[in-house]
Amino acid sequence: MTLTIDGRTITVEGRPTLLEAARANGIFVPSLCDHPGLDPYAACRLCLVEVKGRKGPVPACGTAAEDGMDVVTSTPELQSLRRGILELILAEHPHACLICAEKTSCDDLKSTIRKTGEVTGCVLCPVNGRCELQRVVEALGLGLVPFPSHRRPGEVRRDDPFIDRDNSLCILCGRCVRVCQEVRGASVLTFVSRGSGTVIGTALDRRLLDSGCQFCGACIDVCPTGSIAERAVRYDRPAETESKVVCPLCGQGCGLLVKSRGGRILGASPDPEGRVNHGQACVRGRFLARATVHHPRRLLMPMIRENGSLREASWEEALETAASRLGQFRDGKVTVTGSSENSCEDLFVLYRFASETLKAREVSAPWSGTAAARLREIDRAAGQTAPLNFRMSDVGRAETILLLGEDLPLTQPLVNLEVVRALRKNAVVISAGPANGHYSPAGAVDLGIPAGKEDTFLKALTAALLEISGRSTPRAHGSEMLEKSLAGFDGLLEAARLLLKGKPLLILFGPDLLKTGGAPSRMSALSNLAFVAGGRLVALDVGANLRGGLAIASAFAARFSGAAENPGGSAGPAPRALYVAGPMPKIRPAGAELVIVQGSYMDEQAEAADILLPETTAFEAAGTTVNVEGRIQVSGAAIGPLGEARPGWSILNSLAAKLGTPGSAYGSAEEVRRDLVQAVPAFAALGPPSGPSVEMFLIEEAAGPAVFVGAGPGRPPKPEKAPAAPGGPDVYKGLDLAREHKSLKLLRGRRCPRS
Amino acid sequence: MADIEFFKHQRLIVLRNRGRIDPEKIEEYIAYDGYEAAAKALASMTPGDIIAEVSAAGLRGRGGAGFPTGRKWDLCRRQPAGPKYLICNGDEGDPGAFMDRSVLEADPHAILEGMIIGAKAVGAARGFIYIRDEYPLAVARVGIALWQAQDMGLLGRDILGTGFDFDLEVVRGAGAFVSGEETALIASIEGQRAYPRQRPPYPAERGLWGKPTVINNVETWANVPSIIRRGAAWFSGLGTETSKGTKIFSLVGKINNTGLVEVPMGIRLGDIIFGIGGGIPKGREFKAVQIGGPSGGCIPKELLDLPVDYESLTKAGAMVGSGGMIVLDEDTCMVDIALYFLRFTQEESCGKCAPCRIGTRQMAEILARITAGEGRLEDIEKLEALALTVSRGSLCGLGQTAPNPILTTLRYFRDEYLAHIVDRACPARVCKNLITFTIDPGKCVGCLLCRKNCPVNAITGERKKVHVIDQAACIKCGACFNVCPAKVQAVVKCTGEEGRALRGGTSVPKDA
Repeated sequence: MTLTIDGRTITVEGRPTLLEAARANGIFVPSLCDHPGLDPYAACRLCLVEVKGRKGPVPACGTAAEDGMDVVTSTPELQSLRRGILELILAEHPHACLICAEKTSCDDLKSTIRKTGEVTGCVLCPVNGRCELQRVVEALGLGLVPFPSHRRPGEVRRDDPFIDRDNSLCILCGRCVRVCQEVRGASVLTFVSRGSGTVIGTALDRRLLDSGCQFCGACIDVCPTGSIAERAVRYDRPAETESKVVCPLCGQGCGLLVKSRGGRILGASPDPEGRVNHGQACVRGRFLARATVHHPRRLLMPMIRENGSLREASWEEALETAASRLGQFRDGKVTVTGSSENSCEDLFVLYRFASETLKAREVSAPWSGTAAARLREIDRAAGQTAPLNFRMSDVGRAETILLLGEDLPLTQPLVNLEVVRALRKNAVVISAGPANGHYSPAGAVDLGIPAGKEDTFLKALTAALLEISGRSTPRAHGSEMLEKSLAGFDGLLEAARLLLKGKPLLILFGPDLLKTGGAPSRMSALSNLAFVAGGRLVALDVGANLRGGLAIASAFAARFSGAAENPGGSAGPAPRALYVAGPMPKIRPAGAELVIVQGSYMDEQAEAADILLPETTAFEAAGTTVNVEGRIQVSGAAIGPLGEARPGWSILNSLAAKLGTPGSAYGSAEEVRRDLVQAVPAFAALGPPSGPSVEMFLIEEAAGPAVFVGAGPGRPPKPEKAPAAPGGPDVYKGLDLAREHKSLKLLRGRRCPRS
Repeated sequence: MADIEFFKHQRLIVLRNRGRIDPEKIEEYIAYDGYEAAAKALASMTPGDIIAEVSAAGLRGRGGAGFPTGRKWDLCRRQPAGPKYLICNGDEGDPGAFMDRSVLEADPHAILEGMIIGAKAVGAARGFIYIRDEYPLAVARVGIALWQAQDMGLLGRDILGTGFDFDLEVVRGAGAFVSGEETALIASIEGQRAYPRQRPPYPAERGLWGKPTVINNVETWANVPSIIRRGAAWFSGLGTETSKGTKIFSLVGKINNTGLVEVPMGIRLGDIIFGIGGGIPKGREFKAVQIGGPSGGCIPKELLDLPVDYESLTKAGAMVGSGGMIVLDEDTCMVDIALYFLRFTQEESCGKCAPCRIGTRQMAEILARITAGEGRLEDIEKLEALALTVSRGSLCGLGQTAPNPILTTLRYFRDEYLAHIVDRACPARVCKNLITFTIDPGKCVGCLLCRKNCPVNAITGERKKVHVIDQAACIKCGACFNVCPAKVQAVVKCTGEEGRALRGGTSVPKDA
């Protein structure tokens, strides 16, 4: 449609607001309460514009553009009205510096750091220079506030982890309250009291920690002033560089803007342009980047065990020692472990190293027992191919969602946001999980599954669906049988009816459902449930690069002799050497003559090593990862490698060279990536040079028709193997942040089972 | 009744059953033609017919804004099929008005019947009657009415065998003035904080739970049965060109006959005050009447010939609003009255939008300064600029109309503002900082009454001797003034230069 703004004819797509239409065409309209991703609020009243034919000025943010509209965004009357309103807003905000004639020169002369509890002017404000109020004052050219100032009462709240709240800086734009409710589905922050006494707070004025806050930090990111601020960076000087990094701390693959200065990371905020996260993140990505990278237990030097204890060594010495000792254990006598926290480049070189250089029998890695791997196995066995790839937005668009036991805010924070979005669109969400407490978003139908009854539950639900849709055969599912199988599950029949209400139906499951016993049969029950309900299974695993690892592993599967024993497992002879580049169930299995650990942190595993090779974290080295959706993302590095740490691929590359493997000398991560695309067809999308606008996904087999998996032949051919423990959602490269980081520990300690 | 002034000017349509029927007995309502209109609408009228009738009658929203009811219904009817809702706005927040309460308590079935007709017109199957919880009797009586109507098949499934389904329920208000704003009221029913939102979209397009919703005031709904029963022509025969039918006002303040009055639209303001109201008590002089609730305006005695309808009142700076009419006599300070109403709107501002939240507070503070005798000449300019910012900039009706008391008093009683600021005097002798109590030695009979009643013992004097007030100790509570016998009237209030002289204070420099 076409409309006129300030005399310019403008064509817009969809149904934008006047503010969006104006901004998209480079027309500046001041605004403080509007924020992309939030519903129009129209409270700050600065974006008032005139629309021909409408009585009085209308807020551009809350008015939908209509065909043929004639809009004027700036007249002397409008500007004077805006200035009048801004003067009033400033009467509630410390404004001395904002309207000071000396404000530009003052900044150069400022000598004190802003280490004050209360903020009385911009020079002391944590967001000085980034404050939206400053920008609006500048744009409207305010010189004086002719009203007495009204400071909001109350001290700066500093009793929560991560976040400081200072109501005296608040302009009540409501963004934090809205993002908390509309986007995060948390509704922790709220307006308290009324009129000029209104403040932002929590129910009963409790701490955020006691109000169900998950500390996603979204409120900080939307706050136009410094009212809600990240404590850790509040008193820091501004960052020098800001780099786009794909968050390695879970499988969502959020885009982060990591801020650093002088080779140190200061903090991170979610990238508003992030493909996965659109400006959202979780407590890990938002607050823990700095603590993860600059952890006191970081390995910064290669080490060699000498006389029973580890000593620092040069890379040359460490690599030489490692190569000469590893050389004795080729051909199946060495076990290699990999990690889902490494990049695809690292893993590709690791698999090459294991198969070509060491000729190991396999690489043991945490993806063998994942939901995605299990789903793939059952599909293979049954002869069907359902896609593993999905898009986060599919979840938000679903009409019906069955959530099976996953604690989404903890393990899949971004998927959780899509569930919240679906709920806001009145989708049916059924949350089934352990009867003694599981995650269930507000507005979801809650079903409890008694412990150990997971298989029965899935079968009963399938039976109920067959019964309702009139497809049950008398032989298999007589009503008596049905009643029997439904016994013990309250509300299951009603839930089954709801499940059939709207399509698309997505069934979200993750390792939580599969972790207890009988996984193969549970997987086939799950597959049948999806088949009968006409829904799609979405496997939600936790590791950062699990899907990437899985794709590389399956490409290399044929190159290994296989049938290796689980490292440290009971069956078969124990391997005599270990190359540890991933989590191990046992620290140092009996009979191991050589343990080489390639890792980033000094932990029990590293302490048991004979040779320690320090590896960079994902924040220090560029690399490719594949997130839970199957989305391939290339991450940048925020800072250079710390200490002597090197990227995993580089370490393995040097080691392979020392061991005399031809044709494996990579000079850069790009070279590895080129080879990866050649060798692993799933990564084909990564091959052609692509602009930032192209979305890349793993290539999958074409989906085939779904089938009912019989009870008997559905078993996977391989014997069940205990998956290597990934450690939990807060573990990065063996570093348990929930234990190591004081604030996260506090938060996780509060986590109680919810129902 | 035609010879009694109080009744002569009134025309009872909405209040016709008040006191005549037992509101807890549906049979009595039915006996006075109750539910006849609903039966007619359900059995023999199409939605189009009903809306045409209501439109032809010229019924406009009695909540105060005066939006044509027929047009609102039609807009809702034309929305795509799906759930639609009706809401009766019974959140009567104006402390000085009580016509909604009266109708809810005295004739609840009229509202039910109006809503049944409205439901048929727009195709709604569910409705809500939102009643402020400070009206427990209204909640109880509407509850009884709903139960009786359901029992008689006038609500619920297949009403009167016509196949039409409609259900009503009561929602008790959460207790805020702003909840009476329609979008805030809808948010309140949804369980949200009662914050208004930007319109358009209007509730008729996107209302309760995002569905098309017709929300009308109690009095509007109660008008509907009579229109359907007696026809649009009868209704539009009452009133003026643009404002049809009758309107209930609550007549309160300094007036002899207080209470609810239902008058035809267009009646002369003077007829209400001096005819129905019987004038001002104690022989005082009429000064102004504040119309439309806390954000209405003050109409001075020069405008007593003003016809009372939507347009005329708005033009004069007031509004129909809540229908409150507070009569003010010569002893009222207009600056003080403006401050009183601004304090109310400031406290009741929801706090969502900046101009209303902060602007009402700043205006109230300036007024407080003026009444305290600390006003400056530029304060008047500042008030006018602020009033414009708040009325043009605010999100909802509360803020948009909140400056009305200031604007009208500045318009009609500017000299009083100037007296406060320039002369440091309160002509009505109300503002404590600007007045001085003194005892006229020529009149004082030495009865000791004032001395006994003075809470701070500021009065000295003996029986049969002239009493004297110690100005330094006086707290200006006015107890002496009130107890001094009417036939004596020795205690007098002075203001301005005269008062200051009594206090022994120096005169204020002219340029202050």
